[in-house]
Amino acid sequence: MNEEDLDRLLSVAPPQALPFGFRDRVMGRLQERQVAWEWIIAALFAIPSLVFLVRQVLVHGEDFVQAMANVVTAASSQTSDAFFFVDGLTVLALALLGIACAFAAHALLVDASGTGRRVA
Amino acid sequence: MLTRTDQEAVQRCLAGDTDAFSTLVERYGGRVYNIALRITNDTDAAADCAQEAFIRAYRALHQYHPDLPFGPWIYRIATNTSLNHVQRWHAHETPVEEFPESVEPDHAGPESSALRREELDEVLAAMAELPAHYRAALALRHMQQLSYQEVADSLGIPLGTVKTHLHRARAALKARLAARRMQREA
Repeated sequence: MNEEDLDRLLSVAPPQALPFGFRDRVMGRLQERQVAWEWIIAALFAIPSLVFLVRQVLVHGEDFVQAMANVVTAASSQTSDAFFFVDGLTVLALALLGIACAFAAHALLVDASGTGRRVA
Repeated sequence: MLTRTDQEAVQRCLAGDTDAFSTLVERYGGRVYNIALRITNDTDAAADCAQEAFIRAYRALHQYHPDLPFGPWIYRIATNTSLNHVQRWHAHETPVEEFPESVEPDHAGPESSALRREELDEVLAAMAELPAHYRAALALRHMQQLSYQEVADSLGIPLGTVKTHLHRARAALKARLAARRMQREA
């Protein structure tokens, strides 16, 4: 069998059909990777922030309660003076938690739209 | 669906439109799967390798040169993925013996067609016994009808090496076919 014979024979070999749902599986995996990446970022931001906030509540819980009581008292007595103290690290932790929530919300939305498209 | 060129689809993917990649999966999925199938000799492995090839291609889209055709680029990724799979799992290789009905127009009559089908099955079975890199070269050259240069690009080897691989692959195939015939006649 020479090159031409082999070429003539193999060129008409019927191609095997692509497995059913192949394209959707590929696209699904691409979406999963995107979502996984976003969940990792969200976790990186959220976990240290949450640990810090829990620690703050455990260590300085009384201060928080006092601050809330001051705010409630000020609101009920219609005065504008309400003393409370929040340190910078707590604000930073809350901000990072907010960013983590934004990433997580986006991951959830992408996941939901991807699932919807695959089902449809 | 809007028909896009490969380059347009790639540009849209790079701009963040993941869905544009589905055009490329649809366009090249069949050929990528069949290349993977000829190299791995296993339908499940071929589907996995083809999927993995597209995932790798998507992740490496920024390395794709838009002046070059997309086909040989994705074939190269598919070939590498499949050859890597075979290297890892060569012990699990099983020849593919089942083929769907031929889509070739039947001009030569049923008897001639059946003979040709038999001959094709014989060649494909012998091809499945060849080393993976020979199968890859034969599949790209004779089944996907790529030029020698495109085969070289797809396999990532020099043109001269492709010619040598194909020459040796055809010689090995001929020897296998002769051995199979002798075995059958004995």
